[in-house]
Amino acid sequence: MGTDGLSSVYVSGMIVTSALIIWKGLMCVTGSESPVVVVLSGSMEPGFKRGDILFLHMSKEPIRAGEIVVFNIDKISSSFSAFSAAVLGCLASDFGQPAGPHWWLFENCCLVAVWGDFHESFHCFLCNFPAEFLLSFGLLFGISKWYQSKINGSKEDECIEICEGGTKFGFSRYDVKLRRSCQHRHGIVLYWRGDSMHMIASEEKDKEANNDSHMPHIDYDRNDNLLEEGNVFSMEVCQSERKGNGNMEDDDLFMEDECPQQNAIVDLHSKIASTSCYNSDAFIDTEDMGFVAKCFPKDDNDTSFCKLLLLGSFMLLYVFPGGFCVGLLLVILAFGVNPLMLLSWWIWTGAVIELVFLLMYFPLVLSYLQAIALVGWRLLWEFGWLYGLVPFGTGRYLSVLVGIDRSYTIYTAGNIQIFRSQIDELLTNQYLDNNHIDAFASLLAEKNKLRPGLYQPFIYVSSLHWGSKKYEMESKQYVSHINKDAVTASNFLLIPINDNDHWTLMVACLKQSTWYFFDSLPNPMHRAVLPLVTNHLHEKTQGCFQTDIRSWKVLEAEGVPTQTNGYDCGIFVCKYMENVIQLNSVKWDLLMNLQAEMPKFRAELAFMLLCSTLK
Amino acid sequence: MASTSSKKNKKSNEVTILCLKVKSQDGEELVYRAKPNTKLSKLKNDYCNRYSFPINSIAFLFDGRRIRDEDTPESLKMEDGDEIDAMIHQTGG
Repeated sequence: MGTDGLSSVYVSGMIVTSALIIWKGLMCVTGSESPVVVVLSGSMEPGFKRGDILFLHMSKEPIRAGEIVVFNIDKISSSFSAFSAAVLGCLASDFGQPAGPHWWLFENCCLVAVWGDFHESFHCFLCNFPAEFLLSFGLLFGISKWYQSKINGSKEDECIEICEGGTKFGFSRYDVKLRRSCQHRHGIVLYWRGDSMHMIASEEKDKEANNDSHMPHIDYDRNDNLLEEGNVFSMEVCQSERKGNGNMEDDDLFMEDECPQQNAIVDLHSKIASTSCYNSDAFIDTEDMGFVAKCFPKDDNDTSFCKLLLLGSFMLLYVFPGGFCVGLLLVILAFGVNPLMLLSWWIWTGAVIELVFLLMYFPLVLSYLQAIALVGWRLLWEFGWLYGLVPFGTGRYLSVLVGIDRSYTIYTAGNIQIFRSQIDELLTNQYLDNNHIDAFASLLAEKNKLRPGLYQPFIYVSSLHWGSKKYEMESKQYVSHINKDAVTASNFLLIPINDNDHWTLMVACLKQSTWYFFDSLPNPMHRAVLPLVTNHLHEKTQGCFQTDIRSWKVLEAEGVPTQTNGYDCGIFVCKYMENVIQLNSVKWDLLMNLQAEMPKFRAELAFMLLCSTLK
Repeated sequence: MASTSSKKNKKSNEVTILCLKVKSQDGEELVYRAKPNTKLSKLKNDYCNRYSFPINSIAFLFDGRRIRDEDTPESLKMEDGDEIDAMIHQTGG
């Protein structure tokens, strides 16, 4: 009896210690503090299901776009500063928010979306997007209570409360209000930077709040322009008051009692020039965002965690029995332990006990390890192939961090196919190709379909129409959508032209029978190709236009922003297209700093492609 | 029942090999022999390797339509001697 009790204590002790040993060993091997995690929530579906076991690893290589990052909450602030690249993420967290993607823009240009419920760790999807691109999306974000309390160490109930205001255009929007003065509903928090809070003006302006003299008046910016929905503005947090009032008041960032009005100035400096795109016209559905997680597995051969789990149980069943028997014998010999009891333990924790035996009988360890390694490798090869896995050597299936392959198709529509590598091109200031531009146009059309009246009706002709003429290829299909009805129903005809590695845009105002020529690198040489393009179009679309398009005047678009570098003309063509078809005629002089915003537009396009493919 | 299955067998037994021309933009032609159920992405891979193009920089067009990776001559109803256009993406800055 005494021996039994002792041995059971002994065995359970061994289990605990060996579990620890295995854990620590895994930590060493994988370089991750929590090498094995179990997905507790369904927040990552359909990428990962509830109950999936993930093996994490952490290498010294920089985190790349497309990787899943799992990190724990305590480390979060430092992790964020480590991400100099912006983070577009889906995290699982539970702030009392309903499940679904929630988007955050963090201090140092990180964007994180929160998905579903919160459990110890959260996951996010990385993209190299600059933070600003989001603003142009007009996405409406909230900042979490949790994050705010992390920054300010404040108590929950004194923080800004964020309540969901509906999911009109896909993304959840939040109104911001203070607990103590519930009428404060000015906008949607975008992100914090230092002591200022950046917000998007809210659609529903609370009249009471505006009448309240204590509240900062934010209907007008400093130029007395009316703030419209979707405009970005920022509020500065009253510094002096915070210092004066100790910890408790630190928390009440927006309490007008503690912050006299003259200090709680609303600084509306960040109204950005091209407001047209700041309206909340995000046309991506929340459901689609869920699929961001689906991007990770490259293809069918990729890591499947269920398979990994199966492989693990194979290992337990087939690799360890041999070693176990020897270990069992040794234990029986040494301690006279009841073998049946051990067997029942083994059923539960076979591998764990095995390892402990190995450690106990150190002289035998080497030969044991050898035997196990041999059998293990053997089985790994056998079963590994079965499951499309390769042995550990390549390090692939220990790794959850799977990038999107460069030849992974991100977006496809008609003749357009965008690979991952083309997304990279977008984000790394390389030349754009016809796929990018066609994709942009198809996104515009899609956007217009989703929100009719957003743009004026237009017809788009792919640059391939003219391009295929050059190479004597069939080009009928590029203009098959042009007919009499379409022409009369549309206001614009957009034709990007690629000639000598330069993108230009020809726009026909169908109502005025005029061509406008947009060139971001003004040079009379670039016009030489225009007659050829119109001729070719005329040949292929005879009878569609009321008058001869060749005889239309060709005017140079004047006063348009131009590029100052040698690689942005493609994205300039995209922006010209977008601005030309705006409902209100464009004021180009407001867009003169378009060049500075090009990285943002590139990222925006990449993001749109990434998201809209997932429909 | 038996007759139809034998017909099917007969059909599948006939080895039809299509000659497909891949025409580049400079008019150069390369002839591939392919089974009707060969994935055309295979052709594309080979073509890109042969001319050392990055695989993402080229689009195969058949009758002006982009050939997707999963397409086969059968699915596109290609016939012997049909021409595929290999088009390099237009890029510009």
